[in-house]
Amino acid sequence: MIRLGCTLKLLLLSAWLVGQTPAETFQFGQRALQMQNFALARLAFERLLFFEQDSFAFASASQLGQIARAESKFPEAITWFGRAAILAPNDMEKAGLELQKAAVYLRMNDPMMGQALLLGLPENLPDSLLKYQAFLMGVSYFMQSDFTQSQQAFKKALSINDQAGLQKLDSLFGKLARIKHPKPNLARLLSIIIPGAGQFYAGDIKNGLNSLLLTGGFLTLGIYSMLFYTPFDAIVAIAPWFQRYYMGGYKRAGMIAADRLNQKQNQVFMQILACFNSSEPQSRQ
Amino acid sequence: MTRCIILLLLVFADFKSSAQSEYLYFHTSEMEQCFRKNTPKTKYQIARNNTNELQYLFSGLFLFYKFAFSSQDDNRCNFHPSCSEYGMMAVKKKGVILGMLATVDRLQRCNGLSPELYDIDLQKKLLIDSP
Amino acid sequence: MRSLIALMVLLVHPVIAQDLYNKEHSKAFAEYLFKSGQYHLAAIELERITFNEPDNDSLKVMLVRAYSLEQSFDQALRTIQRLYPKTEQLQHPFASLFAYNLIEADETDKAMAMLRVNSTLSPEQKLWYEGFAYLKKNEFKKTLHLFSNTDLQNGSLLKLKTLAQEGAALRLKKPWLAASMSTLVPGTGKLYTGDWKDALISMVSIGLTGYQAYKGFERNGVKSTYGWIYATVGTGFYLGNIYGSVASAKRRNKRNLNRIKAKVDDTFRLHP
Repeated sequence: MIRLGCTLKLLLLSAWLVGQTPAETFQFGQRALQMQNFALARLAFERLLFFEQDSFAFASASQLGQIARAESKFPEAITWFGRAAILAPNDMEKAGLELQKAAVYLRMNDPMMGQALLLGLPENLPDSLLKYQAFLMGVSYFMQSDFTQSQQAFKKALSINDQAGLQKLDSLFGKLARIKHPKPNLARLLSIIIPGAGQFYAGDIKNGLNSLLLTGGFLTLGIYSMLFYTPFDAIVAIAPWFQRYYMGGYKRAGMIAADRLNQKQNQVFMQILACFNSSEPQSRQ
Repeated sequence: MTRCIILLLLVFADFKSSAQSEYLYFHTSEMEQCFRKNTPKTKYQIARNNTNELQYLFSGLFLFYKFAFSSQDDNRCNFHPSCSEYGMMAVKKKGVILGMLATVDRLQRCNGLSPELYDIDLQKKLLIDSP
Repeated sequence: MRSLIALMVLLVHPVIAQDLYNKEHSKAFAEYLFKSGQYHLAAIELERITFNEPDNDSLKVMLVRAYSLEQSFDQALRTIQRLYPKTEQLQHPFASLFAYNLIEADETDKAMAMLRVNSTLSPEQKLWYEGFAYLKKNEFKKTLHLFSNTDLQNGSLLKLKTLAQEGAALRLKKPWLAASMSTLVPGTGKLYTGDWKDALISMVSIGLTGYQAYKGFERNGVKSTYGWIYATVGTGFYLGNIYGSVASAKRRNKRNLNRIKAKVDDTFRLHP
């Protein structure tokens, strides 16, 4: 028994000494990726891909895509997912990669491109992939402010049995429909009429006062110089400044209102995402 | 015998890729980044780390300009860094007199007529010109 | 029991056969990384291989090249010094790589000293690196002087000579002339350096502010606030324009020199 133990230990040691197998290399790469040591992970997966170790080539390419994604190098990630799609063993894996690509496009703030990829997927996908597709579809519609379509897509992504989740989703989208103010165009218009009014309407007191004082100041300065010097002086020296801050004021008012509106919608978006945080698409059979 | 089994398990363990499991989850945390289209708030690092009183004075002027004036106009400057940031950098790099001269020169150059003289920041769509 | 061990040896065998980290695999992989331009990863890989296989010179050359292509010239120099501590007796590929990296790392004096001492490089190779060092510092006349004594047969040296001639033929703008022109007549300095649009803007802005200041002083005498405001702004513009003329001349010169510098860098990146 002791002899056997020794032999086994030697055997293990030798197997360990001889070198790393593809599987070990893959695991090593994955651990490096988990530890966010991207150079090491890249090296491991590049090696596997270079030697094209049967199924590992595909997996390595997609992992390299994940590395690029984690490093926020999105175009590179898309290239890698494309390469992995060529190596993919079956249509399902290919569809999975398309989904990854679409997610990266969404992350790049390009919902149109992401949606194009999502719509191009085949229909006979397993349930989990369909749900992920619907989820990404919901996000892309949301990014384009198409809330009714977004609601339908998000609903598809939840499982039918999840009644509580569906109800919560409906109520959240109801909340979203009620958010209408501040309207960016109205804020612009208000600020065109009275500088600062649009900012007050959007709820930004500081910038409203600032704009009012600044344009008011330049206006008084202009009138002052017109009265005590010549109208020419007022036009040449003061009018450009007045115009700059008057126009800047109403443009900023629009931007501030848009930001506020976005912020409100963002908060609901986070709550919608939280519905999916706990649930996951059913694992594949 | 148990060790034997462990070894066998080690050898036969399925090391198949787990890339498949990637999309078994909604990557909600990643999607949270998707809707952040708000204009970001800039922090002016240039006005930090002052070494003498004059630099504090200029940093104060710079921050006041940014707070009260620059926050109210469209992005008017043709350059990156903008004229006020350039002024702050120039004063810190070249001293008060040369820095101010460089800034006045920059204000005269900020006319947008000769883009061929500078490199272009493609993301910001501005001309690049640092002191 | 024995049969079990035998079975296990059989099972372990394919694992051994697939080792991706053995010498041949590693070399092929490193070469791939190098050729596909992933110099950082190639360097990591090559460091490991050269450690295990200290006699292979071509791999060492590849390692040093990877570092210099990655623009980390100091690392390349350190690597050569570690591989061959006696830098005076460096053999052919390493001597030229050492000179190249020294020049790229802006250690021109050291490079010149090294070229003087080294006996393994041919005179033509030494000329090549000396010419490179001078061209890097924009000393075109010195480069031409270097080549004047020998009649050149070597095509690449001839290319250096044409680059040096091109550089020497550049008509650089004189900053002091631009400054004095702008002092006499505002804006003309920039006209001289070629930035005529900026010159026009300066002329107009200085002229207008000057005129406004004059008008203010004429109306209310020395006490005129209006006059003083415009006088301050105008003086600022005037002085700033002088400074700007010098800067403009320097910028224009730099742009012209950069065009040649790019050509020089390209030449040497291909043939270090």
